[in-house]
Amino acid sequence: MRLHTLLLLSVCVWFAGFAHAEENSQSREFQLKTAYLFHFAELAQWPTTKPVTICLQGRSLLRAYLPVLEGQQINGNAVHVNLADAPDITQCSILFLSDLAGLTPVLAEQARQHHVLLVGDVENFANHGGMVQFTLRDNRLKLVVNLAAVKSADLKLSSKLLRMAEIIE
Amino acid sequence: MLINRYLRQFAYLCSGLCLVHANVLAQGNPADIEATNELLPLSWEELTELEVSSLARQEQTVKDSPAAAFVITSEDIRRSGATSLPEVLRMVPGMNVAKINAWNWAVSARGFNDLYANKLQVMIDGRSIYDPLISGVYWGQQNPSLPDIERIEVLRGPSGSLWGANAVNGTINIITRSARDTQGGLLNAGGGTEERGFGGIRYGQKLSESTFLRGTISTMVRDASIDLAGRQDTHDTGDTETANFRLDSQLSAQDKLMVEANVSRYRLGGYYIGKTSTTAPLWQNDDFGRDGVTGSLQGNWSHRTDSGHDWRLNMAFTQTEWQLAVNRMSRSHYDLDFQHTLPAIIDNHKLMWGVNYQNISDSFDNTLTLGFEPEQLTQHNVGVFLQDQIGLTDDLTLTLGNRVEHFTFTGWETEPNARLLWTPNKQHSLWAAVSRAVVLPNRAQHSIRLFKQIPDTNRFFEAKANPDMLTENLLAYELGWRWQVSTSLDIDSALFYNIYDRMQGTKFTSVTYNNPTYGNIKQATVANYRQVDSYGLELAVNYRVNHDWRLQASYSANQFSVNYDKNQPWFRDPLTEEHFNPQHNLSLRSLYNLTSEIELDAWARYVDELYIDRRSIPAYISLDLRLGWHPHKNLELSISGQNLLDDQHPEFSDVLYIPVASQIQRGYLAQISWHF
Repeated sequence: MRLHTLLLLSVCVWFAGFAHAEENSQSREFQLKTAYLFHFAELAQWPTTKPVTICLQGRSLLRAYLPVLEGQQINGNAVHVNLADAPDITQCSILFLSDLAGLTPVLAEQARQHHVLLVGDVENFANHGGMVQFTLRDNRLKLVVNLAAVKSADLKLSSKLLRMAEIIE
Repeated sequence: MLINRYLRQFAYLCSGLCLVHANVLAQGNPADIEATNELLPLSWEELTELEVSSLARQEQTVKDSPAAAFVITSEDIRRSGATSLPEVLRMVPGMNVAKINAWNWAVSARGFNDLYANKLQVMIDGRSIYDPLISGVYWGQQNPSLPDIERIEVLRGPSGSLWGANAVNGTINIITRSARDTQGGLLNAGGGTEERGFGGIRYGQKLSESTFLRGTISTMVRDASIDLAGRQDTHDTGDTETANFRLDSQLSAQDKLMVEANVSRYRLGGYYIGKTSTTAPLWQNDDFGRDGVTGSLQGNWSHRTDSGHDWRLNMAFTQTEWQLAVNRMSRSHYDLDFQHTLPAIIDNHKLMWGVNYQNISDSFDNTLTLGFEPEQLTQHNVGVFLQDQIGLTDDLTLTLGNRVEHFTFTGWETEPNARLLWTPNKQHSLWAAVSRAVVLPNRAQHSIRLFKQIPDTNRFFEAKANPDMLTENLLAYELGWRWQVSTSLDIDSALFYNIYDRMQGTKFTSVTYNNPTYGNIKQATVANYRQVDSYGLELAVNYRVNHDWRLQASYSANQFSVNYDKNQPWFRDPLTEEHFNPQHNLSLRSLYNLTSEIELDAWARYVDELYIDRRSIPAYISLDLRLGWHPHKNLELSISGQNLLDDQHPEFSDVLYIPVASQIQRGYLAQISWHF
C-alpha cells in the first residue's frame, strides 16, 4: 500500500517536473514582457505627471514577475505595482489584462477617462479596443498598437516604441 | 474498486503537488526573478532584439564561458557608424587594429600585428575566411553587408582545441542574421569624403511556415588615401560588389538547415609594387592593383535527437581567383566539419567531439618577381577533437579539451587545453586556463620566391621560402574575472602570459656573387628562429547610466620580451618585434539617445606609439561622432565624422612588399536606411 502511494507520488513529481520544463521557455517570455512593461512606463506619456502604477487584472504568469518592478526608478520616479485581484482602475497608469473578457466597454471607457494604458497579450486585444498588444512572431515579442485607442485616452507613445510596432488605426 | 481508489489517491496527490507548484510560481522562483532583474537595465533596442527561446541548442552565454570573450551586437555596429569589419573590431579590448590603406588592415589580438598577422582565426557563420596563403585575412576582400550581421563574437587567447590551428591569439566568429529575422526589404546607402559611396539592398521572403530566404547585394567605392609624407595620393581607390543569399529552414522539430551562398568581386588599388625584368630597366615601380572574385557555398545542418544528442554537419566550399601584375592565383578550399554534443550520460559530464577535413588546392602563374613553388599544390588536413565539461561542484566547472590534427606541411600536431571556471555567486566569476596552440606554416612561408630590388638601391635580393618550416608553438596561461557590480555596471578583465616557441624570422643567409645581370644578389630565408614571451592585461567596462545612455570602455596593455640573436643579419620582420605593437590601447564609447528620434554617439580611441622598421608611428587619439535621426518609423538618417581630431595620421606601415602604407584621413559620411 505504502509502496503504491510512493509510486504514484513519484509519477506525480515526474509530471510536475515535466510541466515545469514546459514552463521554462514560457517563463522567459513573461520575464521579457515584464521588462517591456518597465519600458512602457518610460515610453508612454501621460497628460499629468504622477508616479507610474502598473496593475494586473486576471490570471497571468506575469503575476510572478511584476513585483520585480516595484520601486524601480524611471527618471527619478519610482514605479509601483498593484497586484490586487480587482484593481481600482483610477489608481493605475498601465493596466495589463490577461484575457479579452476583462476588456469590457465599461472598462475601456474608464481607461479613456483616467488615461490608463491598456496592455494585453491575447489575440485580437488591440482590435477589440485594447491599446498595446504583445504578440509572438518568429520567436520575438512584437507589439500591435491601436493608435486611435491610445490617442482617445490622451496618451502618447514614443516614436521609438512605434517604430517596432505594427500599427492598426 | 481498487483501481478507482488508486486513481482518487493519484488525483489527490497530484492536485496537492500542483498546488504547491502553482504557489511557487506565484511567488516567482529566485532564479527567474534574478533573470528578470537582469533584463531591466537593457536599452529598448537591446530588449526588442532578444529571442523568446533559443530553439534547439542551449547557447552558452559569454558570462558562462571560461575565456576572454567579447560580443559586438548589431546595435553596436549600427551606432559605430563603421562601414567595414575591422573598424568595428576596434572596440574589443586586446584587439590590435590598424588601417594601412583604404583596403588593407593589420588586425591581430594580443600583439604580433601586421598586414600578414598569422595568429587569428576568423569565420563567417562558421566558414573560415582567413587565407591559407598568408594565414591571415585580406580584409579588403571580405565585405559582408554590415546590416546583415547579428553579432560578432570575439575570443582572445587560444582556442585551438575547438577551432583548430591558427586559433592562437584569438578567434572571431561573425554571425549573420537568420533569413527568418530579415523579412521584407532594407535599402541602405551612403557616401562621404573617404567612403565615396556604398549601398545595398536586401529582401527577405517567407517560402513556407518554416522556410525563409533572403538576398542582399551591396557595393562599395573608396577614395584614395595620402602617403606618409602627406603629399601624394597612394592610388588605393577601388570598389567591391557582393551578393549574398541565405536560406533558413526548420525542417522538423529536430532539424535545422542553413544554406548560404556568397559572391564577391573586388578591384583594389594601392598595390604599389614593382616588376623585375631580365632586360633593362631591371626594376620598374608601378601600382598594379589586385583584381579578384571569391565565391563560396556553405551548408549547415543540425539535428537534435529526442534523447538529447546534438549533431551538426557543416560544409563549405570557397573558390578564390585573383591576379596581381606579378602573379595570379586560383584556389579551391573545401571544408567538412562534424560535431556531436552528448547529453549528460554520466553525471556532471558534458561531452562533445568532432572531426574535420580540409582540402586546399591552389595553382599560381609564377613570374620572375613573385612565385610559389610548386606552382600547384593540394593540402589535406584532418583533425579530431574531444572536449569534456565536468561539473566538479555546483560552482566549479572544469573543461578539458584536445584536438589532434594532421597537416600536409607539418604532420601531426596537438592542441590541448584545460579551463577552470569558478562562479561563487551571481556577481563574480573567475576563470583560469592553460592551453597549447600551434600556428601552421602557410603556403607563402612554405613556397614563396620573391625577387626584387632593395628599395632605394640598385641591388637585388631574393627571399626564399622554407619547405621545412615547423609550426610556431604557443603555451598560454590566462586568468579572468568578471564582476557584475550592479545590474547596470559590469567589469570584465583578463590577464595572460604567453610563451611562443619556434617563431618565424627572416634573415639574410648568403650572397650570390656576380650574377651577369643583377650583380651580387642577397639571399634571405625564413625559419623558426625566435622565442618570444608576451604578457598583458585587458579590461572592459560596461555602464548603463539609464535606458537612453550607455557607456563602454576598453583598455589593454601589452609587453613583449624577445629572445633571439640580435647580431644576426635579420631581414626586417614584424612578426616577433615588440615594437610593432602599441603598449597601451584605450577605447571609450558613449551611446546616447537625445530624444526617442535622435541618437548622438561618440567614440574616442587612444593608441600608443609603435615602431616599424625603426620608424616611429606616433601615438594618436582619434574621435568619431555620429548623429542619427529616425524621422519616420521605417527610416533612419545619419551623419558621421571619423578621425575628427586631425587631418590625417598614420596607423601602421607595411614592411614586406605589396601595399603602400597610407595616412588615415579625416572623413565625413552620410547614411540612409529604409525598411520596406
